[in-house]
Amino acid sequence: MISSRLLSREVTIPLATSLLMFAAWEILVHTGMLRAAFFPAPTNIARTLLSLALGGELWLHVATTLGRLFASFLLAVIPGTALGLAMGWRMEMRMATDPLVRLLFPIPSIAFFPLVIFYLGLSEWGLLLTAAITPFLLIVVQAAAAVEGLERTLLEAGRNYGATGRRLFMRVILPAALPHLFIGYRLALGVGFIVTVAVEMVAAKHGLGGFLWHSWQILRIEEMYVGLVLIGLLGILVTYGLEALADRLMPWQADLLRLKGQR
Amino acid sequence: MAPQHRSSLAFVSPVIAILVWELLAAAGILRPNYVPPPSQLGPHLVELLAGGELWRHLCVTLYRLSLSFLFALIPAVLLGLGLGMSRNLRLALEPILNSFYAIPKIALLPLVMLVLGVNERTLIFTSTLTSFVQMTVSTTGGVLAVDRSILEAGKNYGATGWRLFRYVLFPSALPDIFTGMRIGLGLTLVLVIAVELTAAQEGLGAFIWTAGQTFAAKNLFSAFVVIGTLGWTLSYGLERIGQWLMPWQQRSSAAMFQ
Repeated sequence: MISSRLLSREVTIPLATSLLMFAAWEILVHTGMLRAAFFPAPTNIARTLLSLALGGELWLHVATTLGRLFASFLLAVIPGTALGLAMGWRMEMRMATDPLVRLLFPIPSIAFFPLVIFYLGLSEWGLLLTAAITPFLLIVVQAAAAVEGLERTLLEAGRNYGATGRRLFMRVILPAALPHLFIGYRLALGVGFIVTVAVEMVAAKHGLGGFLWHSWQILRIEEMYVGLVLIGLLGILVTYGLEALADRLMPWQADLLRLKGQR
Repeated sequence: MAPQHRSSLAFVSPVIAILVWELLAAAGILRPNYVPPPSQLGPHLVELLAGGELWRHLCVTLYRLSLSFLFALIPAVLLGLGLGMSRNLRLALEPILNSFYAIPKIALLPLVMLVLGVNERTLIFTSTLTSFVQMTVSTTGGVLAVDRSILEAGKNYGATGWRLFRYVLFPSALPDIFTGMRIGLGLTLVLVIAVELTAAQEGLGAFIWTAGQTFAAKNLFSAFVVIGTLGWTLSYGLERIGQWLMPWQQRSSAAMFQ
């Protein structure tokens, strides 16, 4: 049974194309058809990755980027969720803040960077705040929509069972809105990651974005690829790791959270 | 509450915010060369646009944005349709596509600069990658999400091959393709600005960066307003077009993420 599963198309085809691609790359470099100065052989990149990983400095960059991502996410998620839920729950709150949120939301995330560092300087806070703004707005929009979209029958049922105020909110509204909140968090983390890397490339010495930019500037191409690989791995973790987590936590909502289901 | 009533209320809080801003500046709490008041910002913005400087940067950014988007559009939709319809193709290419999807495309800028050199092509190509990946993924998702029963109904009415594709599959996937275009365009704008911040002399990204570095607060705010308006127009404008083209499709608010 196991061998037949391992030999099924779901496993063999993706594996084969990936291997084929790397093999072709390796061979083309060695025959000189791909310039090694631009596209170093995968084995060379792997070797550089290994030696840098043993050196330890690389981990500092990984930790810095992860730390920034996490900190900016916290900056976004707590006020964002609170404001969004309040907007969905209270009409007055919605009327007061919704227009401002709608005004700010479509502004390209990275455009906040020059504005933020104009006031905060090129400080750690400047980077964190920039990376938190659009995720914050995204979480607000998603949380407000989640509460607004709740089925009235659910609320009525809750009320009929005697839940009011805080209880209604904690026991009925929050659990029902949770899957939608989670979508917002996942999207926010993805956006936060993009902005973090972009900001690091522009203005930071440390972090993977800074490492990537620096190795391009001094033309250490293998190191540049190492930076790219690590950013890719983190990206995969951020994009698909959360999806897997959601599958675990809310198996009944699996389809809702699929990457391809973004509409 | 009546919809008209609500939409007129939508202007209240931004207007109040602008008034408070102006009043704080007039009271001397906000220093004008640090936070220019709206009454100074308006004329300055008009002057910058009319004088041609900001206008030129806006045109450069629009040019890059539209080229990046258009180069990606047709290949992405074709590849997405192919991926959606052929399981083998999907299995073969998905690992590569999914890894590209997960990488922030701005991180590819150094690599593209290395290969193509630091020039206009590089800036546009890097932004194109974003549109391309996003639209491919959305189109694939759109085809995969087409209701099986609709396809069966089409087949029962005798549609096969091209006719089935043209009259059943493609229209059903169209809303998702359109959403992909909208998200793709939003992401491409972010990337064009980011690339301009990082590596260009011209364009709104370069202009706003220079303004910030030289402490030209009015220029900084003016550029921010222009970039914001651009993002705003693209986002809500495309949503409107989508509703007009596909009135049967319900509007989705949360998908406008960047």
